[in-house]
Amino acid sequence: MKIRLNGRTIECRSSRLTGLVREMGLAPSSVVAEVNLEVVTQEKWESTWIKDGDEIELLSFVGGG
Amino acid sequence: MKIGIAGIGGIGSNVARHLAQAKVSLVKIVDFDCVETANLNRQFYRTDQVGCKKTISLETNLHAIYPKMVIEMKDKKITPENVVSIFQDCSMVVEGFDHPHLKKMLMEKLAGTDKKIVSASGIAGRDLDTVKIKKLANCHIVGDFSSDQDKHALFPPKVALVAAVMAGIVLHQMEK
Repeated sequence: MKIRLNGRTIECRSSRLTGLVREMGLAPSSVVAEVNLEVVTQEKWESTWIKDGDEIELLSFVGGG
Repeated sequence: MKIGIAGIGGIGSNVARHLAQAKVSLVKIVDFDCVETANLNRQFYRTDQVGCKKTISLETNLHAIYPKMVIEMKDKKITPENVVSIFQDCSMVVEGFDHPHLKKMLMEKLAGTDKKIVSASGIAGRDLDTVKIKKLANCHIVGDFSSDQDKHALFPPKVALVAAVMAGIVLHQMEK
């Protein structure tokens, strides 16, 4: 299925958000996920199914403050 | 309108300074740390405050700019258990943590609330033209989104730049 990830259209192989984070090679402990303009907290990633046309942002925080 | 500041290091202390200069009347500053000599090149503290609590030192420095500023202080470590209650009376929260997992924690915990969050990600390195603003749900995030301070040296003007952009977002949101 096709989704928009961080502003780009991609072919997504994962069916759930957990899989997408893994597919992108991101460290879950520093990632915030937004699906269709709502933040999905990490405990809900496994139960969040990805649908065709979803707009997803995965933001990987880096250290420094 | 009360502005919360989570962590008053390079980002938090400089955002607070901008807010005092703009005569923001009410802030809540939260940190458990003390001022160290290594902080002085980029954080809003003085040599004679080394070893003192950051909360008390920042209060002194902000009052030197704007004596009428009401400053609530919490000398406390912010955790997943207390973050919501600490900032429950704040309309906006500025995130100035060092660690990425704390940045994520604050954003996830406050995501479902009506609070606006202004966060930093990527404040190291010497390149100033890579600083951008991203918007995610109720959060603005400022930085270059790639330079981790564990891998890149901190360049004080870049820390100050990110903090100034963050303060600008806070002031702009306050006018809305």
